[in-house]
Amino acid sequence: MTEIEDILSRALAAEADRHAPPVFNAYRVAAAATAATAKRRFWRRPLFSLVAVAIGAAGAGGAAVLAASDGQHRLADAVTVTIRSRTGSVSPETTDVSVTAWAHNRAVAEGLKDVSATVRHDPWRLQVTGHAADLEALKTFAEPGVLQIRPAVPVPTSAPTQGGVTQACQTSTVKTGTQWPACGRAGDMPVWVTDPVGIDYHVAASRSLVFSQGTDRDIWGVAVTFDDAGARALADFSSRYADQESAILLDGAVVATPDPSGALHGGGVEFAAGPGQRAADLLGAILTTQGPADLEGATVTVSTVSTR
Amino acid sequence: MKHRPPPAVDPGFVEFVAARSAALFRTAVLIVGDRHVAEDLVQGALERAYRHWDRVASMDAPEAYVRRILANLAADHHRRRGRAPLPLPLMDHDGPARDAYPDVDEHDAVIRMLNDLPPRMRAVLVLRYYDDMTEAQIAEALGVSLGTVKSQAARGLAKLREAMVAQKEERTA
Repeated sequence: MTEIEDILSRALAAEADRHAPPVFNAYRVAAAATAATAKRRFWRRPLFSLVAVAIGAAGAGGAAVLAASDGQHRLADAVTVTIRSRTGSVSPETTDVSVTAWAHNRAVAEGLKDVSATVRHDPWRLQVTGHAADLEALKTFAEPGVLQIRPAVPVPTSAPTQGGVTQACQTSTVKTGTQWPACGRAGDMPVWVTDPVGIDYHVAASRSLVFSQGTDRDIWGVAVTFDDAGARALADFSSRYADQESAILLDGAVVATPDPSGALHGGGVEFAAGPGQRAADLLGAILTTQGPADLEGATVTVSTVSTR
Repeated sequence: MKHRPPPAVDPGFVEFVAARSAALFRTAVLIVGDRHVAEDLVQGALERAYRHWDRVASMDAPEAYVRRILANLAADHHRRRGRAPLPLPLMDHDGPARDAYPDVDEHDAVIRMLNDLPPRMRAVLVLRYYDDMTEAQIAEALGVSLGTVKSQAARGLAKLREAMVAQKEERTA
């Protein structure tokens, strides 16, 4: 122990001794805990009338976001985004502390200020409160950012299309054991994804980069680096499917269909995020602070808490 | 005389509160520097633990779980309220008192400097040097990486050291 560590230890011990601890009454704590649960339901009722209700039919694995009128939030207001897991419960590994800690990390990564996160139970829900101006970013807390790489086969030319867009493509992160037609969020990049082989989430770090020069604005992309296990899996994957197309899926939607001999190397992948650096930074933040898997397919409701 | 029976509370919880609340309070008061706030935080942490007591009680270390809730509440406390209030000094040290109680004076100075640090950094230092938690345990408790704990602890100590040196120079000047 260095001298300063020693001084600090002794000072803390001395300071602690100065404060005679009060007596905590277990019965009173229990009563307060029970009352708070009952009371919360009561005083929340009027608030519920303010809730811009949003109950979404969670589509095929995607988070459904419904807010009656986002435009009505005044920028000075605080908003609370309530995220309910699809099943109303979470796995035992998803502790309250791990979820709130993750929410704080996500907030820091995305540069959001004054974010507080609370987990409530029965049914399980995560409440994230922040500035109304940050609403869109707060809603992304329901998006765990699941990155997957799957072998793919090109869509047969005989597949029904409309305006060059394949119909009935799915976004899904769920392993089905069969092939399914997947595409990007805009219905682009249609491929048949062959499951269940591939690489699941292993992102260790990400950085933004100019992916391609656009005519108007540059298209920015994200370069993600995998952790050791992910890098090994990626090496196996690219040698095994060296002559086949592959698809990078983000939350079940295709974001890139790299040629295995090209982009899949060096322990990571690169793909386009969209115009502007902000889109790439945000996606990078989401990917490196992956949320609990239980949030997949979560529903989101938004309520406004007026600060004045 | 009418006797209302006490509400049915798990005896394990009663025992836990009796045995561990004082220690939890000390951790809280060191992190937030205000006994009333600390009392509220401990009460809050215990309430949360009670709501899931079945689950908490079956854990290997219920105290570690409650301490984790508490540490997070304490570390986040100032984020909502802005800057930490300085603790009330025990006494105003004037010249002679300083010389008579160099240790007390030094401790007091360290605590004041500690209170100038950002809350998370303070939480790391308190958990490390008062609660003797390992860096890995602190990282888990505060939900940050091990690297963050190491760097926060190192920066916190460096700042304290700096402040101590500056103060000594001031005193000898």
